[in-house]
Amino acid sequence: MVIVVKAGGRALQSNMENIARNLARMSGEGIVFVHGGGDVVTEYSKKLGVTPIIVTSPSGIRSRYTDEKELEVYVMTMAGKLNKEIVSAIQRYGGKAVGLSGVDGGLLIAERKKKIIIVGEHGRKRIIPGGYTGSIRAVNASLINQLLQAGYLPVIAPLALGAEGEILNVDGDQAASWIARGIAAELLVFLSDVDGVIVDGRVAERLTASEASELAKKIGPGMNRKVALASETVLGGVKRVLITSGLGEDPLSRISTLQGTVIGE
Amino acid sequence: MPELKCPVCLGSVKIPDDALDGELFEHEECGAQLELVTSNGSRVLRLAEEVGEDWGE
Repeated sequence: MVIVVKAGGRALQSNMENIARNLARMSGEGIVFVHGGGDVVTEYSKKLGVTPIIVTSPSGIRSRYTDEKELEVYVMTMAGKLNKEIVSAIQRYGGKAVGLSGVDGGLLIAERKKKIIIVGEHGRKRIIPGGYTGSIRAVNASLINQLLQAGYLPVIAPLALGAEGEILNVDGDQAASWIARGIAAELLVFLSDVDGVIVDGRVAERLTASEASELAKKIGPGMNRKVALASETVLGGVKRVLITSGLGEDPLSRISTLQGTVIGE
Repeated sequence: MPELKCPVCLGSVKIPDDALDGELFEHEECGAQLELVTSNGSRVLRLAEEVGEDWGE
């Protein structure tokens, strides 16, 4: 079974060793790992004197605004430090990992956003230049499949190649979703810092794609984006998406028991 | 509060004094989504293009 696992920066920062140890155990079994790490980029931006600009979309999604300086830090941190730390940790635990970014081998092709809409300082909507962020349009599935067939565990940083060969910052969850659809994975796992999608104070265990799509309109920022993307992923041909916690000693053990919120038909 | 012309229905649109270039205003009379821009030193409204949301990491 081919599985794509995505861990956000918070789960990774607090539980990198356990996630890497679990990944190493599953290495060679058709696992692809996609990482986030926005908080680490912010930390290094500050260390390098580049003030991060966080913008808010009209629907309340907060994201990094990537100008030229910010992109330099993003590439250094995501494709460099963070990616290599994950790869080295997996190898330390006996796994066979290869670190890549979406730029390598044209793994992820994205369309650069020329303009974006943000909520400006007066609380009104404003159009600003899009910076170096992109929307993914294609994935080089054959490269990933070749690595999997050779027994490697690809560890992928969320960068992509633009139409003019420029490097772009892309959303890690979107990258994982595109990769899962591209390689026809059976399962996409989002490791987060909560146990699943909370509805009325409890974890919703099972949702259909259409239920998830409806629910995404009613839940808080951050998780709404993940749930909507999970729905799109299932409609795109991936059998199931599991949203679960990346915390604890054996976070990937939740895959076999499908503990958390499962979105699927 | 300055008033600018709507390029769609040619009606009047009130713009706040502190409005910045790129800000979007919906013209209540005709429903057009308009973008404030500076063109040849003058502030004008133009029909806003469709723009998606930012999806960076």
